[in-house]
Amino acid sequence: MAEKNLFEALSRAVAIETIAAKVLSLNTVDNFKALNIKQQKDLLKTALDGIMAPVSFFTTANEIILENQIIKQDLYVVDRPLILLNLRKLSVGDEFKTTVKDQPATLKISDLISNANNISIDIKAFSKEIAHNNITITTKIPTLKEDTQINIQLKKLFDKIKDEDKLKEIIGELFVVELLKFIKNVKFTSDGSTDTIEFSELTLEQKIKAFETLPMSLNYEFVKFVTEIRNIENSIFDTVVDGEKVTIPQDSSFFFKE
Amino acid sequence: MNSDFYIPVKVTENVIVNCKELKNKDYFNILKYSQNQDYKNLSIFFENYLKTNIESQDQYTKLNFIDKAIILLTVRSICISPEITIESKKLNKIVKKINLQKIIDSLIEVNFKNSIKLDNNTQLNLDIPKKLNFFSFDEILEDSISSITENNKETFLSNKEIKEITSLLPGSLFFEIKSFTTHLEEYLNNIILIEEDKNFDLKGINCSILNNTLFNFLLSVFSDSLLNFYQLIYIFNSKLNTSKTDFDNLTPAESNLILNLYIQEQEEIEKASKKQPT
Repeated sequence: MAEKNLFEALSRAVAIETIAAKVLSLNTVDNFKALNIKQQKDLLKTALDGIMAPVSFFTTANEIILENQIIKQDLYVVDRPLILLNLRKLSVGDEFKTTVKDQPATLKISDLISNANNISIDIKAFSKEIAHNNITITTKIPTLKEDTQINIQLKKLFDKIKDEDKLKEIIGELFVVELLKFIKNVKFTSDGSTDTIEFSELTLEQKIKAFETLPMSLNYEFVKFVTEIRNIENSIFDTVVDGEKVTIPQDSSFFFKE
Repeated sequence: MNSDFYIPVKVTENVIVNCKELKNKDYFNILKYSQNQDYKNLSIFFENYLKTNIESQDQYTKLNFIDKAIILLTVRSICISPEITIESKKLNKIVKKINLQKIIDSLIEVNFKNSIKLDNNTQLNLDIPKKLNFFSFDEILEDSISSITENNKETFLSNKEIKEITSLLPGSLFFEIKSFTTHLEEYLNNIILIEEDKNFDLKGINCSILNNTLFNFLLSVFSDSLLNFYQLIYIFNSKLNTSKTDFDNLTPAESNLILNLYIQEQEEIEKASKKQPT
């Protein structure tokens, strides 16, 4: 059995490296610890979660980012791609092997980081009101904590469903759940009075029901808003090789090497 | 050493481990797990059997799964029977006997280790995993971490400590440990315990960890008819007036020996009664 001071010696021997990564929402550069073996394993294991693999991956990634952040402060989902690129570069390496036009290609993570460092995001600008008739949605960008909370509720909801057909039906709701994360509240005005539903006070099932009652025209504007944010996030993982757009997958394979 | 009878078993790296005999009580449980095809609980049973029957707990904590297989096969060989018998369906009841000692001898030679240098004084030692069977690659990876050497002093790690260590070590080492397990699997795949024999529908058996081949082989060598065992209990209880406790404390091989003596005696009585004038 190991003594306590052996663990201390081990910690000294393998002093975990840190990396400075730009936090887009804060427009600052923060330090993050490199992944440890357990975190590396946890990320790779998310590939085994079937249709829930993307949800599991982002939940695990959120937890790792928050755990490895040296100075604790709120981070948002728009911060995640660039921090993941930095953690990947530090822990797995700068090279990412992929296939472009059926030919093997090696991408440099540091190139993607350099591009993303030029992005600036005004987080307050994404808190806006989208109105249609007497209904108004107040939007927000979810924090990593909020994203994780909803993902965990979603996984619990999925775990309850054993029937495969029902499961296929509910997959469509994955898209809805992603949208819900961006709603702060919904206001209904009638006869001069306003009722506000704060989404943070609802269960996931209640959020889904409330969202489904919103008119299509309002939905359209709201989906446009969410797509705009997702496009910023996804663009960080996009690059061009030989004139071809290449998108690096934001999943467990990004943290794997042969 | 207490008053129990121990079998000295030579495992890998010329280490001798003392292990108690396999008693009827244990064998009965093995047969029941086998009959129910409850291999998860059977693997827990094997682990508990080894933990409680190996004389030195310090030695037990250092045993890898090859060592554990050697001990179980030795115990099987001494306490049940030294051979396994395979009947050919194709060749009209022709029987093939395989000597377990040959298999044990090839396992004793297994040796595969590596170390990862952490700094000038500290290294992480990787070894053949300890668990008898695995349900995921993740488990194999973690179980390959064996000990830490600091200033030439080696400290073996418990499962809990290994989990703690994986939170301390940088993720870059993950790929070194993964590479170790990949090479280990290649090495173990080349250790052939039983050659393929199509006449006996026998597939070649190696030591693959990923396929739990050795564990599955152990299951097959410990499988037997549960009904026959109930008959044995009945004979000991009703014909030989043996108490349950006494029966439980015999090995299966001893039980068969006594049963054969009883049968022989009965045959002699029958012969003698036939010779007597009526």
